[in-house]
Amino acid sequence: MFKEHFDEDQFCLYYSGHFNDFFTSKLISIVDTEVDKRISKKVAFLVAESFQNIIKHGGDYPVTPLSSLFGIRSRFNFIHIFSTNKVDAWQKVFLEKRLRSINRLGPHELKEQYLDKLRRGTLSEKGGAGLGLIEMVRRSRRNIQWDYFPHKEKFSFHMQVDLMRDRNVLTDEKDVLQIKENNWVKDTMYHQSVVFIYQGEFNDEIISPMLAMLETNMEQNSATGFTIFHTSVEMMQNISRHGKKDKEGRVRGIFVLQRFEDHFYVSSANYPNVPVEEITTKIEDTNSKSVDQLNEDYRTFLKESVLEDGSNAGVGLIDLRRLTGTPIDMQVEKDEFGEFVMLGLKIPMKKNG
Amino acid sequence: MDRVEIAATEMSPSVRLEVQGEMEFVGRSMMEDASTFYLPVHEWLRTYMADPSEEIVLRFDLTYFNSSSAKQLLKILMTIDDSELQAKVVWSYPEKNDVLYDRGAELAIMVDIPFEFDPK
Repeated sequence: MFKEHFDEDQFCLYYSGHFNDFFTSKLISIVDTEVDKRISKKVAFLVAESFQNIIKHGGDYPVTPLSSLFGIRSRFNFIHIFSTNKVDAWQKVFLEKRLRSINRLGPHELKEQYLDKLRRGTLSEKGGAGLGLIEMVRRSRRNIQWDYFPHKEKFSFHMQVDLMRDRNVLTDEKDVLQIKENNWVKDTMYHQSVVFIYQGEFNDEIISPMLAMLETNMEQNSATGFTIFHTSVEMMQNISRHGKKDKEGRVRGIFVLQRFEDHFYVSSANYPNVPVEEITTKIEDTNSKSVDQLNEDYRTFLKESVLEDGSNAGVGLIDLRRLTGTPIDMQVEKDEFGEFVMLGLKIPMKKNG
Repeated sequence: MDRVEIAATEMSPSVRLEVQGEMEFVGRSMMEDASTFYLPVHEWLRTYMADPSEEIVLRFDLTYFNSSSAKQLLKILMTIDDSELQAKVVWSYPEKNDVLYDRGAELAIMVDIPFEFDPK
């Protein structure tokens, strides 16, 4: 489902859960590896501003239609930064007024507003906008898209900043992602209990900050927390280790984390560089075995791997199966690029963590 | 033979290798390619084994390690096990983390080196 929706994205990341300042640097380091150095500072600023808005309101769990969400997508010649927050009716009216006002200002007026506010810490007549929003429009040089959805007595307020990657490239306005597309993502994430999606390149430089973000949602030193973390590590590294390289020599894939009331579900997908039949056989074999048999296999294969060169231990899937006690799910789709393999694993929440 | 000290990173543990016969690994070991990281450790061990002290103590205080690292940790243990070195392992783990205890207990089954378990 998400694969089709993000097919035209160079990369994307969505997160809904606990938010804190620690994330900002992690998110920026993920984005930094994916964007052109010429715009990385602008992107970092826009990410930080969007994030700060969310942090002020705080993330929450369990996830509701009003929960905060952060998303970033690189698509065609644009980077789209999407954020949502829970607001009261009066905050919604205030924000709408502010955004309409800022979106009407030209570049010169925006600069005036910005300098005026800096100088005096107040707002001029034409404005009515906070510094953050003014800067977002100034730096992106485009109007902020916004939308809202009522839920009980509150609103989920959505904003999207669109930044052109390269102003020298001829761009079709049709390439600008409309906010309704991200509204769909938020809605789908809510209904599918998705708390994290990443599509893009997989390597240690990107995996490390992603795991740091996910860790804050896991109880440290609990068995469940350890299992989710380990599953995430092994699945992400499975992509980077066994993924087919694209034209630019990069290994790409998708990683999704879902959180339900009594379990987590971790899934990943990519085009593998090994025959799919090999993967199918391995998984069927692993799924058919008891925990005792899996423990024995793990020890045997790990010992054998020590005698072989290379980084691969060949026991990742066995380890996940025996640790979770649940079968590994597998689905294969064929398209013009080859066979797309999706793996998924349910991680029950244990009573003591 | 030199002492070796490697600082920890987000993906790799701190490593301390002492000529008096001590190897210490602290933190997390989760590099995709753990073999490159542990190469100097294996090289140090080979050199140490040519002129060892009375006993070598291996201290593991890891809060996490991935499958690629598990291979390297076992390789270190098997190298010592296959030699005639006197050795012991001190396996520290967070007290509430049964999984990390189990990981240590499993390595203990796979080699003939005494393990001491130290919950923290």
